[in-house]
Amino acid sequence: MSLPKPDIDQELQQECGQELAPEAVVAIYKKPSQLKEIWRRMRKNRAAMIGLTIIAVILFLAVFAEQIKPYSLAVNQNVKIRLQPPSLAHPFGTDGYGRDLFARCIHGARVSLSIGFTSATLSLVLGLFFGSAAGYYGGRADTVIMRSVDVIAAIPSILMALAVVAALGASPLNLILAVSFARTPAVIRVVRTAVLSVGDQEYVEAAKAGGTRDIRIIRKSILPNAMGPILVQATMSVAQNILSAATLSFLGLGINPPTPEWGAIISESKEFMRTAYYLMFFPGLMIILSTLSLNLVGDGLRDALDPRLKS
Amino acid sequence: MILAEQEESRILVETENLKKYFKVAGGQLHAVDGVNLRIRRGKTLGIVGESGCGKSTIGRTILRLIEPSGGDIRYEGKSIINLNNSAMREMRKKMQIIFQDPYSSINPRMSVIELIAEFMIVNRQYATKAQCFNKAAQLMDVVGLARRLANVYPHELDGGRRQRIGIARALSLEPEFIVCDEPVSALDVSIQAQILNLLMDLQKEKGLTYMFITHNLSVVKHISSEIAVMYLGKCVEKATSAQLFEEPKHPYTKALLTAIPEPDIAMRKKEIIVIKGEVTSPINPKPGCRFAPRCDYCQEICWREEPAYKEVKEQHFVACHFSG
Repeated sequence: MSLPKPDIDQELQQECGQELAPEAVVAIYKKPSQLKEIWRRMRKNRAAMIGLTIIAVILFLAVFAEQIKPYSLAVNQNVKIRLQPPSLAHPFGTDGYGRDLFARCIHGARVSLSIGFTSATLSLVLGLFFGSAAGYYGGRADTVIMRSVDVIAAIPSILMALAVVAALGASPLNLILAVSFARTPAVIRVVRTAVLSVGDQEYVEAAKAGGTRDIRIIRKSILPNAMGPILVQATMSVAQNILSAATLSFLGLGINPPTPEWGAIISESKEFMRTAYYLMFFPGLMIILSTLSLNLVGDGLRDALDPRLKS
Repeated sequence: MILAEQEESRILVETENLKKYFKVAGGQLHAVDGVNLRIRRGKTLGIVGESGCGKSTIGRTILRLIEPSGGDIRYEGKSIINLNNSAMREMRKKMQIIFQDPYSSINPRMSVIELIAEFMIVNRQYATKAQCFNKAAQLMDVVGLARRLANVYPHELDGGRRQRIGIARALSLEPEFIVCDEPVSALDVSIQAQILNLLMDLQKEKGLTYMFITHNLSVVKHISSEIAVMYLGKCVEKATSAQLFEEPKHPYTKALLTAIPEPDIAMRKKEIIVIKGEVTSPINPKPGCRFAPRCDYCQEICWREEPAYKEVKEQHFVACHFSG
């Protein structure tokens, strides 16, 4: 006794096939490019734009470091000009071995930023995977993942990173692994909480009722709506990881001298702290500026990604 | 005999002794406790009851959005209780749900057209995404959403329009059966009427079968062919809409019906039966009739024995010791 179903294809043909090709009809409903929309919203956020400018300048310095000040200036010692205060020739002054501090800072930006970004990306990927699995499935998956996270988080993160570096040896790659491994528990927790908070929304249930697979539900319904805290966490991770890498380098377990890295530069300058403030001030400023601007950009991005804040 | 068979074949959805218990701190919360329902093809079964009586849980359990704790659900005579995920996905093309809250039931990060096309895309209803979007655009016409709203995000729309998105989305897989979980209670009265009329028009046009959950008796009378009254996880009375309003048998139903506001002052009955006390806790309920503590006609047997759910008249079922 079921009712005859209308022939969809024919209906489609009648509705749009004759006047317009299907592609053309879709084009009408294609919204303006998502990226353009996000950029438009982002531009209205002054703090985010300031952050973006600062981070762009730092990235520019890092990318063109070789052209601005050759690497040799950052590593070759020249004791004749040691401990000079900032001047035109040496904008940030020179360190205890007569190396140009500006050159060291911009070459150090390459190292520090790449460590910060790669390790943050790595911990974000791990965090998204385990965090959403724990938050979405709950039950046993949640228990296993979160108790493991507790165990890892119980070990102080620096000690953890130390252990990883000690086990694998000191190299930039191991430093990245150590830093991201130490950071991952925090990311997992934030992702899980964010996923939990949207997981019981009715639109998730609706997606299930429509036969959507779990992966797509997480990707389309949960994560976009849980993105706010996760993005903030991710940008803070970059900042935090730059600091952790700096700490490890300070302890001599990360980047080996004479390779410039912000943390290592600060660590080397501690002997001259009382007489040559600039040795600590400028690399410290680089760390502060980059982490601050990343946080501003992260905040702005979170708002820009939300269509509700369109106006 | 042949008549009976025909009658059987017209039943689209059927539950048998359906149960859903939730584990809570104090024990087991009996949200749905042994409910038998039959929904005929092309008809509307209204489910009424006060807050917390388990009516929404029933709707969700039938779609297996919540896994039942016991009993059976049959669709076209076939049990769907043990279907695996992929078989259930197939099943869900035939059974859809419209949610109560049009604000939380649609994803704020998707545009209107994406929301409507989503189910067709995930179920590969059509060969290309373009076709899904085309069909979604047609559905916008069907539910009365202007096509210019296609790229708009839901936060820019009012509740009525959002609910239309929900309806279009439910229709997108061309289901036979739709659970309407209080689809109008979050809306303004004027919009309620529009949405109800839309649902009824769609039913006529597409031969849909509804399970209409609500706490609003005027609404349920308007839309239902049959009505089931629930109290604390139990179905206490079920009859055709006319019969139930004409001749309510269960004391709870009687009280409910006198509580409907009467717009015409001359028609107002003097007596409104006020139910005493509060709903008793659904956690580890005591034996006997669930309504006994609040019932005016309560006798000793009501505390002792649970009343059977029996047919007192044709198509009129009541669970009360003193009905009939």
